[in-house]
Amino acid sequence: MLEDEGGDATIERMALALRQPVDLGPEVDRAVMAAIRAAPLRVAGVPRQRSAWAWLVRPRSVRFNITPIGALAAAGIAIVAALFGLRRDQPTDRVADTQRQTGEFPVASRPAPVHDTVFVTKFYLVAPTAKQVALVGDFNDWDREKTPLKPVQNGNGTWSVDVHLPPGVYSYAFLVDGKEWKADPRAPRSVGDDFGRPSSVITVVREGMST
Amino acid sequence: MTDAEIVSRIMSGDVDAYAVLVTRYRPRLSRYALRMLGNREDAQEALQDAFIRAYRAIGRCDDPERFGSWLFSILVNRCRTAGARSTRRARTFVSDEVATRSAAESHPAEQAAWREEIERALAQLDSDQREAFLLKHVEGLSYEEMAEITGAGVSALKMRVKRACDRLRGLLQEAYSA
Repeated sequence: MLEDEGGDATIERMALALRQPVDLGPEVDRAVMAAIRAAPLRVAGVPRQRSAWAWLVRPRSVRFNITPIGALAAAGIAIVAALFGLRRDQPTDRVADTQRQTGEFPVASRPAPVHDTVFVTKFYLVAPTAKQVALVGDFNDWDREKTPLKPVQNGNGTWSVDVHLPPGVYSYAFLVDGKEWKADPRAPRSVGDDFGRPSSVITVVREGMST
Repeated sequence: MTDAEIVSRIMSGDVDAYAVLVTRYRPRLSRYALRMLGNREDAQEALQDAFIRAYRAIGRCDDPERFGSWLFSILVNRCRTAGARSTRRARTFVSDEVATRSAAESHPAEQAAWREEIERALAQLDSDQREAFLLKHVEGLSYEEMAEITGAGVSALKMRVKRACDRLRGLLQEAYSA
């Protein structure tokens, strides 16, 4: 086998020496566990701490212009569509339908958010051949079961989901048919790409969002 | 306790459960990081970074039973990043960082010379060849596993391994003939 791969007795002897165990020491364990304990995973029900991104949450106005769905021909192209301040008693679907029709998200014209305002981020994925699509991100612990997208009626293969997010910065991706990870090509790529999966970054602010 | 069981506990908020995985995989990952990067400081940094990143993204581990493979792929990428950075520290293979025992080299002086030549030769490989050589001949991965980890095709990986072997053989022969 070695000969086929360019190896021989010299190479095998060298590899044998290199296979001998080495250990970078328990100080690695201590450093890793200290870093993890300082910022443990957010478990459901535990509020996320985002002090490092506190500057992002200052009030600001953002206006979005999203390409109409009909112009999105390519299958699998993902769109993160909009974030808007929304009162809890406001019917989400109606607002979302209006925005889908206009392709515009006039967040700047909305009343200033009050303390009970929630922020809804709408995620779109155009995937005509998909049988199921899920949204995974650090806001749902990358759980493929928590945030499924639903097909948009007459949406030409568009899937969408509304997610309530507090202000902050999030990594996310779409999981198509339970196996294919897709980053959002219209959003910045996450530095976490080196985990072997593509992902994108979304920034949520009080009155709008930027990606 | 299996990897999947530990991952499940971590996902439920048991931070300390991760220590079991760190202890379990540290030796193998230490070896790769040290062989790949060539010095202890960079290897430790890459290893710690890989462990912490894996923890932060543990929900993205598709198959918790194969947590080790997934973690290894993160380390390979961290080593690539570390290797691509400008060489903050010179690539210095300290002699005691690379395994020494070789049945064919019984005399301590011969062992030291052999060890030194291995370190020097490995350091002269291109990073992609060194990566492929270590994954194949030291870590014992299949080409399919290597492809999954590196993102390179099997044919390209075979070529890298062959070229690495050719280069290593030439360097070692050159050293001994000198």
